[in-house]
Amino acid sequence: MSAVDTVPQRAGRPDAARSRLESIRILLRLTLLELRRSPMPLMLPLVAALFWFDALRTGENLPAIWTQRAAILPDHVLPDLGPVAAGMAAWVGGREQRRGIGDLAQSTARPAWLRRLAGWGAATGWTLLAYAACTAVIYVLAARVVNWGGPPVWPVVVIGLAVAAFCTTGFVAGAVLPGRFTAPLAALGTLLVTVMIFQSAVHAASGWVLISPDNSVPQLDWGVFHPVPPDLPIVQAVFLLGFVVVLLGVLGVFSSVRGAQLRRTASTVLAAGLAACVACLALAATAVRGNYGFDISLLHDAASDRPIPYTPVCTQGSAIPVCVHPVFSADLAGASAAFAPLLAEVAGLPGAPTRVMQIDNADLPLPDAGPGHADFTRFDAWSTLAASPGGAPVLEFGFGDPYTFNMPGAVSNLRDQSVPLVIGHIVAPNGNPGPAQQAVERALIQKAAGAPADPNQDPSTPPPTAAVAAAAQRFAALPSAQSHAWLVADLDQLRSGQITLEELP
Amino acid sequence: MSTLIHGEPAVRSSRVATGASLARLFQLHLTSRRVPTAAVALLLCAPLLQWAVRSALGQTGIAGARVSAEQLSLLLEAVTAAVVSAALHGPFGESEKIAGRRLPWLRLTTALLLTALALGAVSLGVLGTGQPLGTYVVVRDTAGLIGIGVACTTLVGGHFAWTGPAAYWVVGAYALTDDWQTPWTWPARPGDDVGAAVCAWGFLAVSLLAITIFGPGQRTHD
Repeated sequence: MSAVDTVPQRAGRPDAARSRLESIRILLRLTLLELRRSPMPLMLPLVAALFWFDALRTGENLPAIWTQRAAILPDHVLPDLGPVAAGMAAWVGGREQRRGIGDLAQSTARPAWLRRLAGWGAATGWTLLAYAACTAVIYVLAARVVNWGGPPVWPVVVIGLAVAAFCTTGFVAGAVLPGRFTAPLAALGTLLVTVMIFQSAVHAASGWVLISPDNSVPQLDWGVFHPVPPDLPIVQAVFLLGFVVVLLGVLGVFSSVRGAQLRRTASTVLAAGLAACVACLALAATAVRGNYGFDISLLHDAASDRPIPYTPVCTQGSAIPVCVHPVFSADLAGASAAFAPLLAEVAGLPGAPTRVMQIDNADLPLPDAGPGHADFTRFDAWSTLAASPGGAPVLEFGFGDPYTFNMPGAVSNLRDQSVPLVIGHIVAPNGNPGPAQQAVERALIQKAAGAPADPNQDPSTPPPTAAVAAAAQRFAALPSAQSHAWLVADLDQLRSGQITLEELP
Repeated sequence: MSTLIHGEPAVRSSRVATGASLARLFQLHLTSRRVPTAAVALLLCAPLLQWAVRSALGQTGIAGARVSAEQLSLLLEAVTAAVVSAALHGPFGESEKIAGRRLPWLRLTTALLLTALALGAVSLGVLGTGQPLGTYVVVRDTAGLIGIGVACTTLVGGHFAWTGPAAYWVVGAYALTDDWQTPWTWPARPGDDVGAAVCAWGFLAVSLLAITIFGPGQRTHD
């Protein structure tokens, strides 16, 4: 009986499982060793400088909305961190060949793939640590200014995987094609690809280019009134994961030239990653730019389009309150000032809006063509008159530019567009205004908009007759209190066409 | 004795030998710096630049197409600068510095040759593309970027010299978007801006002088 025979077998743990655990333990130890020895921390000062210069400074000027602040991750953190990580990882990946220890390393007990996986793990670990720090800074700073909602998680996941993909690309390039030009070409090449794809994707309404994590600048109110659908982020995350797996498979195939078993495993990994990438590309090709984000019909859950409940912030003490989403509470004063002249003229009149309410820009019925469409395209702000659930009219408005109420042109456009809408509804709710109604409309529009009504604004409206224009001038010249009192008393008769031009005060 | 009798042919033969050995030395120096590979990489940048600028400018009716073309152009200029700066890395370190007295001239000649190649490549790259800022601006910007890259080679060595042009691209892209006026961000300045020209060409000249005198940094091992 030998000594080996006397050693009792551990119950319930087969040799194969123990061997696998041992391999994992060794890989972890190797990775920890690589983490300690990795030159990746050399990139941290540069990444920190780029992060401060580009991402942080840009982020400070973005609106205090979670979706907007989270967009710094794909639009700035990824181009700042990803290429530097790719370049550094390429340098790390080419270490064995650069130091001429390839043959020496081949004689070690562990396979080359495992050895390189440890190096890759350390490089990716350092990169993800830098990414986590950048994300934490952005989200902490955002949390101090955003007053509604919670931090979006999907951008963090997708960009984290994208950063890992950059790092892996560089590492594999360095391992497979070692040389002095590999690091610069990996860094700037990945940056070039990112910029080129962003350029194609940013204006794309659909197509496979949307697979890029840096594919759009989100609309101002995405994720505010409705949740951003997770369709595309899911596909992007799986694609990036598949891409990393493909690259690791390539690394395995190149590293395991002498081991048939390992080469088979690497080929399987490579095929699995490729399958995931192809499937995700096919799914991304069906993505379309929806009202609240990108939708993929196969993955889209209609329930995710339900509005997010919120309590609007409204002006206090006014006859007709102006309300905005709490995220836009800083714009309440601007919105109130924009609609104030109109509301002063129509408050208390039958048919006047009971409130002015901000809604999702995507939910506004926008003009498809004509001057109205051009105005909307130029100023990204619009309004419409709708009925509340109780039947009372509500003036709804939306805007897509964070500086809408600081731009006189945009405010003037919003005012010019909403004033005829509301006044027309009050004076001639059934359309086809008579001469007296036309005159009162013109006078009120002049008072509320601060300028004479432009007969060219709506091509379908004929220019007023001289008598109508004269009556309008006469009515507009009345003090506001007097004209308002006359309207309160005589609006019903005016609407029913019982008042003639001559009877107007 | 024969040299004394037949002095002139011997001197000529010696000069020829010296010329041949110098040529051989230069060739070996270029090979050790991977200049042929660098030349191929630089020349490949020309069609890439053509394609990138044309595709950016081809986005008709889209706001920002012009800035996008300028940023892409700047990025490929940064690629050429990174290639030049990586090629100037010396693989032999201190031993080379003490062995070769002609090394500074070899470094200068190599740097000038690669710079000329890079400038030629970017000129070809934007030829006929309608690049908004014009060919001279692209050449000026590339010269400045090469200056940054070569300065980084002198300071931290060729392996990490690409970080300089890459980082400056971020600054330059920002300057192009926000239309910065300072001459230090020369990519955002027009061709007739004297300050930008002085900064870019001055940076190149000072960096070439520095690499000639001090050689590439040896902080990292090849």
